[in-house]
Amino acid sequence: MAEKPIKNGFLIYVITIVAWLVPGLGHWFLGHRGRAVVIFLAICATFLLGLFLGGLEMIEPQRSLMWFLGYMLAGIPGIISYLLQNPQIPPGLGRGFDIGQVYAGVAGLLNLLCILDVLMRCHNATLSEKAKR
Amino acid sequence: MFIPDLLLLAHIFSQPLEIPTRAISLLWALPICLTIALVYKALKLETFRFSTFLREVVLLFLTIIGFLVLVAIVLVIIAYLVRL
Repeated sequence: MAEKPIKNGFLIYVITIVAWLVPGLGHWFLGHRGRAVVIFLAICATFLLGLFLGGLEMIEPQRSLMWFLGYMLAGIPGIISYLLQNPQIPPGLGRGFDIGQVYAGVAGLLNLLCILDVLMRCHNATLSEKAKR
Repeated sequence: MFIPDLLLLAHIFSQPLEIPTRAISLLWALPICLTIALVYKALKLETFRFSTFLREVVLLFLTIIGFLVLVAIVLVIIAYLVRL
């Protein structure tokens, strides 16, 4: 499906931020509704499964900054989890924690892939529009 | 009614899940492989038709699992050779 060209440069930034905040919403705005639903469900389910496995206290920057950045890439799910966790409670340890970290981190990285895809689609649509002129 | 339900829900996420160190725990690799296959194919397919999408996702999922099994077999062989 060919995207509508986005003439307003500011709108590209808005779509990118929206794509970060809600997984799949960037694709939804570009008209890819099916892709958007799949991306949203897959990323949110993986992030929630990660939280279920590792616990909310897993989302804290002091323990591992790189994992934390990965969680934040998931957008609103990551931000809400960070706000809900209690810094007084030390995070648990064990296999569940490790696997939970991987799940939530991969969910964030997949969202980064989606953000880059949205940017690429915006760029390609603008290029093809310029070529037509 | 709503707040206690919400607190009960939050309690599920309060502590890490106990996962035993058994071979069956390796099955936790399956959901994440499925997610990767879903998102990757959702981005890569030119035309998004459900039947094509489903077929491609299953193919990619099986490929990932196949390579994981292959890596596991190689590691087992290496471990066996080291022990000799």
